[in-house]
Amino acid sequence: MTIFVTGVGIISAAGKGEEETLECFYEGRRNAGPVSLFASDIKSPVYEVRDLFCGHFPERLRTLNLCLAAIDDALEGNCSVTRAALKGKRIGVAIGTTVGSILNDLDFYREYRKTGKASMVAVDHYLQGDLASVVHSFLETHGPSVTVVNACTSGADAIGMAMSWIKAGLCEIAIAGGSDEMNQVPLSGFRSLGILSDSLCAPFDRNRNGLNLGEGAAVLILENETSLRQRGQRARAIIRGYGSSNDAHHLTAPDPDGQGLERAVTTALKAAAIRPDQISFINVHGTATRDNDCVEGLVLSRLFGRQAKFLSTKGYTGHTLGAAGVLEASFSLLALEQEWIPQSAGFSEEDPTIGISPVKERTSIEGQLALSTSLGFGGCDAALVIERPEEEFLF
Amino acid sequence: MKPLSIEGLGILCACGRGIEKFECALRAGWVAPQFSADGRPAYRVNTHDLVDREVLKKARRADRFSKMTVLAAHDAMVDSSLQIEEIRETGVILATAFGAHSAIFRFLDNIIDYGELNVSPTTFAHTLHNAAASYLTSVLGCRGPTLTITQFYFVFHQALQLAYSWLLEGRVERVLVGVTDEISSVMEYICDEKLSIAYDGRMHPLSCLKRPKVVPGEGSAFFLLSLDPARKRYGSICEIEIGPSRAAPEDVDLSVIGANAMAGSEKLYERALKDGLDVAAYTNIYGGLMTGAGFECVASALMLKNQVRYASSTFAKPKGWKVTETTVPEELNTIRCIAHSCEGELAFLKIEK
Repeated sequence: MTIFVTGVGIISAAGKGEEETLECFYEGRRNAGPVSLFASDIKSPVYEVRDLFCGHFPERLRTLNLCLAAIDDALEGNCSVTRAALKGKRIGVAIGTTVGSILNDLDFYREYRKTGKASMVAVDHYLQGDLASVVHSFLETHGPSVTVVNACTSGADAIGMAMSWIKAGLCEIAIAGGSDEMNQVPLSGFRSLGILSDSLCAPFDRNRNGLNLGEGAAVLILENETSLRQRGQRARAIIRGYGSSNDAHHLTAPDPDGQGLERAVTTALKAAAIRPDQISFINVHGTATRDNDCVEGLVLSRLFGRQAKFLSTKGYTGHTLGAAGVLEASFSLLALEQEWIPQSAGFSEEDPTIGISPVKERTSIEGQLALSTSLGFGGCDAALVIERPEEEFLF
Repeated sequence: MKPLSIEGLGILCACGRGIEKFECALRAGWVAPQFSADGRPAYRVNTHDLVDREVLKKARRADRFSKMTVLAAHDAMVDSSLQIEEIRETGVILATAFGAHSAIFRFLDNIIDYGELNVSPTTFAHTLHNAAASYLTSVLGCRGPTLTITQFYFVFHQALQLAYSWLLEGRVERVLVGVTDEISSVMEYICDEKLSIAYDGRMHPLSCLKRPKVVPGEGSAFFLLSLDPARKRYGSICEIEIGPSRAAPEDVDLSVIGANAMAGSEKLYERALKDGLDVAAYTNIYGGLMTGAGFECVASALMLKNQVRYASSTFAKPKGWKVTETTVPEELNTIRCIAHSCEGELAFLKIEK
């Protein structure tokens, strides 16, 4: 069964919506700066979303507001599905996150520790903030609904989950997304692991020294052919394949041989029924940590050869955790449409231990297929094959 | 839907580790909860049940949430009698409502006590919802698709639906599906604030109260599932439905209700199940937890396998259903587990022999 993408919504430090994002990529702009959303002694630059519209829910529910901003962007932008058309319908909602699913309110906890009781405001926000459930309420829809908490592959896995639902006949339309806010818990946690950079991140560079955190959200509206034909609409892309695997290796480190990632990629290629040489470019996870980039480089070399055309967009968005997989799948889709990929921001010198390099400048691409990879703590690996459709799918 | 064969079961809750202990508690009909110093009751997993140097060798630094998960999942695999090489490509789906929140509070302790520059990386790693699934795959050597999902209501049902989709697509031959939730002093305090606590340690799941009282619980329950009818050892799941409040079809021998006081008024069960029907509830064995449907599913699978109907503890006059307070042999072919959300939705799981 073919799974079509009919809508894309994106929000990150690179921009709100496609136009701003593409402009940012085109100019190679990196909108990073010090943390402004909370007081912090951590000096690592972060990629925050400026002037987030929080008209739907309290400002404190930032992950949810980011998610809804992406949904607004998808449905009000160039998507052929409108909010009104979805109302009352059975649709699937799969949203990936990390921060959005935990009760980590410091003020609440500080008060509880001090007095043995605390205001329930933070708890109420948490209980009302389950992303997938809120999206259903917000859109007045019903159907399968899950918040995916698979660390940094959550977004890619949300897409895979939505595809499975559609294939199993549980729904004809699904919203697959990811959303995460800048938050003190991951910021201090990543720093404690020694993988946060004090400068702008440099994915795959010889001198890379860690990641920068970011925040953002993205959603894809997925549909099957029946749904698309009924509305006589245009498909922007096809998700040709999805693969996921587990390293079964370590809680926070990837398997150095990259076998889990390789399994995820080969599964996705097999599902898409294509050969590696048919892939035009790869939007890699590319966090700029020593381990991640080495493993990805190794797997890319093995599967696609030294000439593989690839980039990391983390240099424009930071690592947006649960949102990363969907943001990067969306960026891949835009690149296929635009027929160019931006320079892999932050890269300047090849790392001999990796042996391959991402694109150093804005690069034209030919072909219709892209691959987007995600790796996450817990040994999670995921890969998506995205296709720019032929004319026949422009219903 | 094609029936989902239950090949193996694993369970860990307040009554101990393993299906034998769970069955023993089900036969007795009631397990008394533990009471904290301030008089709050809870169905807590005993710490000694989380000690297993052999199984937890690779998870010795794991937190309580992860250990519960690993042990229940491991036991489900062992119960299935499959060999290590046969489970390597198995998919894993862990469903949870609140995740490893104790680890998150421990990490917040770190920030408050030592500042954000001096937090523990190990504690941070355990704050991730999918840390438990990571330990699980590492201990069991499962390299298939692995997912952790969360939702406050029906997350177990969503996990089953997804497992079914994976099997149908042929992504995997088997899926290990489980639920885990834990309680902590903070969560007990939140329960106390947001719900009514049954300070006498007794819940009344069969009374359909408007304001039911809860004894919070914790634990983990796992199922090894496939589409191979020849491999079913505990019957099979043949219906997974989530939808608006409605009458349950009267096509089963027994309905097990998940009334556990976690989702507000339980009047919905009264409307869904007519007087005179055979109904049971087992929440006085494992307590109130959002993922209780997993435990009800284990109880139902055991009843179908053993052809007994376990005792339901009532403590108060139940509704006009047929309820038995003693464990009796009974010919059971189908059981439906019913759960509700506070938004008035119902979820049905039908299990057949």
